[in-house]
Amino acid sequence: MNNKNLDELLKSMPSKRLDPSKKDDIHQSIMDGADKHERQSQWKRKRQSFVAIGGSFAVIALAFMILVLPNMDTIFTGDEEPVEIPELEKFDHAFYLPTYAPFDIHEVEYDHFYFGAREIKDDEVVYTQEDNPDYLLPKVVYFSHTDPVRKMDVSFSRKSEHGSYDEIEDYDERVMLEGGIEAKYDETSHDRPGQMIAWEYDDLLIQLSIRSIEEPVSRDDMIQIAESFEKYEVGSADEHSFLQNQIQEFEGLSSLGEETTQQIREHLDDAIWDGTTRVNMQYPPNYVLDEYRIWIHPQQDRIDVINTDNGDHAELGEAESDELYELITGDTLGSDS
Amino acid sequence: MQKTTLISVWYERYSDELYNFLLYRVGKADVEDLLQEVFIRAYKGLDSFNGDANPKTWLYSIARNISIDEIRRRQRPKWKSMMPFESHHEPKTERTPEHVLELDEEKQAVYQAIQSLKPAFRDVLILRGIKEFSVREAADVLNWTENKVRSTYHRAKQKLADEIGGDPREQ
Repeated sequence: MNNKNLDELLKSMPSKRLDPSKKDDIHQSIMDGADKHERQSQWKRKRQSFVAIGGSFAVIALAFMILVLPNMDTIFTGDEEPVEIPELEKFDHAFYLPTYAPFDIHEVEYDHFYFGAREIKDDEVVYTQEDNPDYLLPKVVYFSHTDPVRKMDVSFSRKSEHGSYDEIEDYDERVMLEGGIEAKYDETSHDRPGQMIAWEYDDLLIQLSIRSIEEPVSRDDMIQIAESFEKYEVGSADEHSFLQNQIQEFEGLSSLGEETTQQIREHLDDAIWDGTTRVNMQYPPNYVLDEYRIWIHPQQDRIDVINTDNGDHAELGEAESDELYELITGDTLGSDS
Repeated sequence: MQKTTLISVWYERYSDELYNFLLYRVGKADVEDLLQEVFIRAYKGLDSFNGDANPKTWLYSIARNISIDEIRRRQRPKWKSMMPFESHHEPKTERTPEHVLELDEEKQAVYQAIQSLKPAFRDVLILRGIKEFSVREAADVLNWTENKVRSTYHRAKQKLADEIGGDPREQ
């Protein structure tokens, strides 16, 4: 056998994709392992309470890690306000964002992947080149908080910088977008459904992915969203449908009288706390009172509370929930439903 | 950005190819636990990852270290089989890597020949030959000089040709 044949033979050795459900299982185990590691190191860094993990609004398996967000004074209200994404201004290329999705968008925010150098300073990892857009891959994240909860990521990379369209080999299908643009499409199993589509436009690699807690969106939906992309320029959010947050600043419960606030606190102090250190809630809290985050169940029948000082969680019983709800709103729990 | 998000992105992008690397490098079918270990180690070591480096070669170097540990572990004396709780480390099924990779007769011979070679030859044949890494990438993963990659690859191919029957100069 000559060298050339041997080269060809080696190149032709087959590869095998992971079974999709197994792939998801392994991913979940990795996330569990990461979570465990994080808890162990947090325990070691006593003085760091909840702030150190990271700056961005973290989503892990679509669950909001409430405990790393000590000041999340937000509430889902349904009012819309345009959201500019000034962070995109520092990049010297255009941006294209979706103007359609087959679900409601409640929150839009900017995020990025950082590929620059890291340094350890005062026991914390510092991203030393985060000001330099050459080391960032920008993305815009859309959240849909109502059931089924979804997260839609749109990420951008300049052609050939950090991977190009041609290098995406593991997306199984080729689909055609309007205007004859080829895109690659793939999806993960129904266990934790995710759909991905990638294409190149204006020298940009655009990757759109959607993760849903359940009820995956369809391939045609993905294509339709991809085809709805329109150019976005900072300052024109009000003309760009979809760049709206339906989440408003929440003013806490400061409007309540001191006496009522005290009664609420007593209620919460007396609640039966279950001693868990980490509970994931799927959406932001309805109310905030100092260290307490308060959730009304979607079925309007019970209340969940997390104490951000120690991470403890309590699910209040029916009677306690009723009393607390009445103190907060002056209304009866369940009267809205 | 969240560390978990970065790891998830890398997982999405590289898990399939790393799975294959492990199938070839370890020579066993049950490498899923090892794949998981690659990403958990990457997560734990993320702070030491140089942002300018290529995540792909970094993950491969972790996978290679894990493979070396695993082979060493599997070659240890069999006393561990007397401990019932260790059994989850043993193959859960009768799957063979040849079966998982759906190898035909010729490729089975190549696969088995690669397994019989010394680790350095196996490394470079898998990375350069099968995964088609550039010399630079292979050097990054193996922490070798580019010259060492070239010369070892050359010798490894000669050895492989011997093993599967035939001298590379013969034909």
